[in-house]
Amino acid sequence: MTFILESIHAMEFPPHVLVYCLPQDKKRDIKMSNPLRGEVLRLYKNLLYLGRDYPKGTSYFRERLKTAFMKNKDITDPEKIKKLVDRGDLVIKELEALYFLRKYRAMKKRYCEPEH
Amino acid sequence: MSARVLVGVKRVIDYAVKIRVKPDRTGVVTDGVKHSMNPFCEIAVEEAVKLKEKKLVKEVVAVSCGPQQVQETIRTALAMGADRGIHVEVSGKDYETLGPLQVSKILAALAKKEQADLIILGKQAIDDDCNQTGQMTAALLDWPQGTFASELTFEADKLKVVREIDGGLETIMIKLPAVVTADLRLNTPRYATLPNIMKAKKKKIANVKPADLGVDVSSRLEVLKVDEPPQRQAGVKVETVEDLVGKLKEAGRI
Repeated sequence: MTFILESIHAMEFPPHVLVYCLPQDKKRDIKMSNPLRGEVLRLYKNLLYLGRDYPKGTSYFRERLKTAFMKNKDITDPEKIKKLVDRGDLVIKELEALYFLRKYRAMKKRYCEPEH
Repeated sequence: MSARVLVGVKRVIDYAVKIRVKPDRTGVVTDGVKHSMNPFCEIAVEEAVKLKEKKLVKEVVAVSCGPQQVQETIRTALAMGADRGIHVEVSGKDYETLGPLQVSKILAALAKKEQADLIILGKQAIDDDCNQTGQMTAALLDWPQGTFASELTFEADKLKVVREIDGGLETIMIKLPAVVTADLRLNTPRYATLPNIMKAKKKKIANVKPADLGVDVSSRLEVLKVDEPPQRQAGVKVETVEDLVGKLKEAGRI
């Protein structure tokens, strides 16, 4: 089972999104897989869930997420994988911040008096 | 502290959705439209959870009134850290006419039943913009209220509330039990991530009917019609200041 890291410039606000590839080899023996497989799958699922609120639309997000994964396939070094998973978690935080800021700014514009 | 906090959450059309009025002008299109928790309710939940994390309160109970779908909203509150939920079932015609008066009666009844010490609500809902539920609930319970709260602190057995008012901030001390409504700058609500949603599935949501609480949800208001705001007219460009003055005079502005 292998992973490749690639950065995609798909996201509108965070310029760098480093995502991970899902293992393509489902036929291989799962028990022999890299223990980090669970981590990567968790990351993918979390990103997918976050993508539902993406400003440019769920399908836009999902396409790019999947493409990034599909392109990346061959990192075997657990060190590198771990680093990438950490960076993926960072992306999750960036998305959460994006969502919060958008909402805060919209609410502020609608409900708060402009400060002079 | 053994306090119990009741947090009211409302399921509204998502803030980013472009609203459309129904062709028969009786309301707004809600079918198939993305809904989510009212942003001010999110802030209320976050504050309650923060109080629990600081060990100032013992339990956070999330409440919502409406049809089956509001359970999603309660689940979001549970994912943010509430301990359990209460779903007050109101559907059909009753739900369409459900307003602040009915909700505040329900919340007051629940506060007594659950022996809540503090009720935190959002200051207003982004769909009806009533800004009444918190105030009415406090009046029905005869509890003090700290509305438009931008800061909340416990001081001995009292609550210090910094309120956002016209022209600045006001600080008041109110005794518990009390009702607080959350304003925009109270805190930064956490995002209900997938792992938290999963964990929240174990938490309980109780089902209650308004009749069980002795509340009559019939409305005294009738919506006659709903219209879109008038379309913005295109602007007109003028060449000189004289033209501008002329046009303003024409329009009766000066």
